[in-house]
Amino acid sequence: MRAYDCPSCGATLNFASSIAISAVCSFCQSLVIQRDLDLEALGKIAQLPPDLSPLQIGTTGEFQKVSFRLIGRLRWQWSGGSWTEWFAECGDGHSAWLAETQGFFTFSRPVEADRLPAFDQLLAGQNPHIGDRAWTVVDIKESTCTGGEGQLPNGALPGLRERPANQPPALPRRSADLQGSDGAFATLESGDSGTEMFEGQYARYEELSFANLRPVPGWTPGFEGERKTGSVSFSCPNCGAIVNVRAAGLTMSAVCGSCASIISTSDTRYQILEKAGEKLRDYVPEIPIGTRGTFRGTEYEVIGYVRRGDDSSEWSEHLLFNPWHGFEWLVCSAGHWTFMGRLLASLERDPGSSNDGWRPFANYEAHVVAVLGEFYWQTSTSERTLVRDFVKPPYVISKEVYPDLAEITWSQGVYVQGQEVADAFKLEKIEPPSGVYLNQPNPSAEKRRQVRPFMWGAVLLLVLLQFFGTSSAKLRDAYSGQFVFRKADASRVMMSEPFDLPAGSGKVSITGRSNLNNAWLGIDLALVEEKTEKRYDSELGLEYYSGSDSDGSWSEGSREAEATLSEVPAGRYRLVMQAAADPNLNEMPFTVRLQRGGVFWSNFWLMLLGVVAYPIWLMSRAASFERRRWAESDLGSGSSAASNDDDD
Amino acid sequence: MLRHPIYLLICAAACSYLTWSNARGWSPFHFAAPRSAAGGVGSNRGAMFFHK
Repeated sequence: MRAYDCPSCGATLNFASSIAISAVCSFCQSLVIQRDLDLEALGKIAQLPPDLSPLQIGTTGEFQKVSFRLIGRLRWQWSGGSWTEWFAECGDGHSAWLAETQGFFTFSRPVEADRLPAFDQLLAGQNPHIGDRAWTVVDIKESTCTGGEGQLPNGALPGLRERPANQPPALPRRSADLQGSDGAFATLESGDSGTEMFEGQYARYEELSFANLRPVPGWTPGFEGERKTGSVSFSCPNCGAIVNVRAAGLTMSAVCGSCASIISTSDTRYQILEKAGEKLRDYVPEIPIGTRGTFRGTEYEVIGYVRRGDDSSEWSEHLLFNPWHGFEWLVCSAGHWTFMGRLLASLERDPGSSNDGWRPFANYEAHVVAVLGEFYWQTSTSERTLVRDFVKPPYVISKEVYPDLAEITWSQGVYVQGQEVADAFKLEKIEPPSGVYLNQPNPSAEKRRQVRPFMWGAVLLLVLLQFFGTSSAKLRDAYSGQFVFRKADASRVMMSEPFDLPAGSGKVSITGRSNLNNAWLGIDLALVEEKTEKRYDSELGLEYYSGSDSDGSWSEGSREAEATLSEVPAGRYRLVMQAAADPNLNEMPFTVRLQRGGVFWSNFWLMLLGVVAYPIWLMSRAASFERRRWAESDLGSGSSAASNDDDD
Repeated sequence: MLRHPIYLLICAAACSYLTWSNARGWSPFHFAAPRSAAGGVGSNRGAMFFHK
């Protein structure tokens, strides 16, 4: 550690890191730079306003196996807000920048890159190739440094507001944020010393393994103190009412609860951005601002509410804040809830352009109807967003293009049951969902997916059972006899010789056959057990007609008929038959054959129907649900969605 | 927790029924309850003719 006296105030100034060339005196806010063995005070920079960030000088962490320690920070401001960049000394002896913005982080390091694209030619949405990687430009802005603390590299100084009078005014730093696949992040910076590239990754809080964090007032257990909510208050510059900022230093605008003016909170000047008018107060969030609740394992506070709309509908967006995990959204549309967060990776192609299950659902321009609370950007009621939604229920991905801000963001959300929201935020009443929402899970499709393995298992089992049943219960002859129908016989009753049906005969088939032609023969028959005198009735109907006409010869009917009896017990039986025949028929011989064994196929088909009926009904319901969903889409079709669902 | 217990019961019942009906040669569409031999086929002359 190198200790010096501050050339401005004489206080001790420590340079603990070998990679730090300059430092901010914590007593007089002078920015001091090392020049060989001398120190030079460049001027004073603004003190950083209080914020709710849990990071502090001395916080350590590890990201992708690189340990780091935060040794300084700068605050940058642009027309739409501000953010913090932490200067980190890494365990490998190099430096890195950890940017903290909108509830997520970027960890990047300076890289040497050839043929960097010219700033003038960059546009949000472009896909430049730099090095061996394709990037998407997501954000272009000009920013100035508004304050800092700790130790800093020499190159981090352009744009400081308060410079010595003999220094030329610093140019604002121009920067372009680039997003790559797999969470890759890069930024191109054009400042006093030319264009530099920093490359790294997007990161979430839990990926950075932070330690030595600062207690967050109002959030860290035991540090609630007097500022129970951890909020910062100021007087509305329009009406003088007190405005509370719940995520100080992290939100860029707040709405006065009294006069509905939108006020910039990106610095302590609290300038009015827009006098939005009283009408904003007519809207009541589904979850009141200031409500805290534990949702999906994380405690959130609702700090902002945006009512948005398009040509046909309106919906509510609730901004959730947690000092460690950042910002998330709970979107409510017609009683349907979606939990949304920033997608920290550029998609190589639009969802749905490959067979990945995603489908484009809607293209629309959203406008702001009302805003309440505070936001991590400088909001406005004139804000317009071009939105493209892609769905893969229960998920939704939204591509949001902000033409005014030259910014593109991707968000991903998941459908949430309203009751889960009500339980998390202790809401007494919640609007029941109506209609089918774009990412609402299809309950019938889900059930069908769940029962499908059971269905196929049962179908396979039924087939096997029928196969084994057919194999084991072979047909065997039990009786065969020849009889003659005689019209002259007054009773026309015939009886067979006795025959035995052994135990387990079960199914009995009786086949009658006669050499009829252009006549019919009906035989009522009874299978009578001699001992018990129980009888089983059935009948055989034989008719056969043939002839020829101008079309040639024809025939209809059959000379053979079969009757089947089920579950016939063992015993000694006779067949008793009473015949009736065509009036023109005087005498007609016929044969009767009785077989035992075999299985009924009707049982198999009936059971098969029983097993597949519920899945078929679910499929019908699922298709109906998808038709209702896609009726709301201006890009897709229900049939394609239903077929896709079948492929799952 | 077992999902769709009623459907699983239906599947189990269908398989059980098929096993049982194949073993007994039973069908609801071909089942004729046994009757007393008095009446029915051959009894229109008022006598059980195989007792003749």
